[in-house]
Amino acid sequence: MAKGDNLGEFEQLILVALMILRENAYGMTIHEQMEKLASGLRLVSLGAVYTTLDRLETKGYVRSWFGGSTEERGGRSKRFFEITGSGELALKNALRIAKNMVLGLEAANG
Amino acid sequence: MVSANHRILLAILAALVWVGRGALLGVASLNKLVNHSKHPRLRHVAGPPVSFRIVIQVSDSSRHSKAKTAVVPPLNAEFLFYLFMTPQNCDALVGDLEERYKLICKKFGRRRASFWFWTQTVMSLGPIVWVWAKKVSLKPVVAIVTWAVAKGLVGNDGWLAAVVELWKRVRS
Repeated sequence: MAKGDNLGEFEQLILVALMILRENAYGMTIHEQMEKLASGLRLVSLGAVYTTLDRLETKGYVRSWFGGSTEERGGRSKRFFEITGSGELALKNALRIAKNMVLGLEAANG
Repeated sequence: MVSANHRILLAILAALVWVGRGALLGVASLNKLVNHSKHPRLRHVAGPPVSFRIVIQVSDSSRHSKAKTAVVPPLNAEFLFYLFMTPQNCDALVGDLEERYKLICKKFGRRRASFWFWTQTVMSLGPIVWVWAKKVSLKPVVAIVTWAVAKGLVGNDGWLAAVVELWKRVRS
């Protein structure tokens, strides 16, 4: 696995949010879900969400499409996101590493 | 043989051409963005060529009173996104902000909704501008700085000679 294929913490958060939200994943719901997951431990801005999603799309971990425009959004369309197969695989690998770290720490502390 | 002064003049000329091209592209994309904008407070002035159209805020009294009652997020904050993002991405992001703004406005009032909107805008601009800067302006800046370093180090434009000289200085 190349160095660029590794996921950062923010990218992991986004991919987890996408897996939870499934077909209802667009900017604002992803942002809300990430705030819940981060539980106040880190700031999440909508701009950072969009730039990271663009980066993940370039890597091939996410795909996006534009939905229809709605009145409550001032006639603007939603951009929906979905995790791809390679994205799921990368997330699983990253979570496995995190789990190993936790287990290692628990074993060291008894 | 081109003298050092000529080279500097040529470099300045190239930089000016690059900046001018960027400005023209900026005006063109801004017009495109404004044409696509669905914001009720935006209107075009008809007449002059497209590149010199002016965007104005509607100021007649009937519209002003209408705008006061309508739930509309701050226009200036939106405009900042239009400067640094692609039209489609920008529309999606601003739509998300507007959706949440209206919810907050309904629950807590216009003042708190505006505060939230501006906070999100300021927080969001950092990563967006950074990505834009990396894409648009970092390469020319790096090129100019490298050229300046090369010029200062060896007194000529030879890149290899500059690298060799730099390596020598680092080693010593």
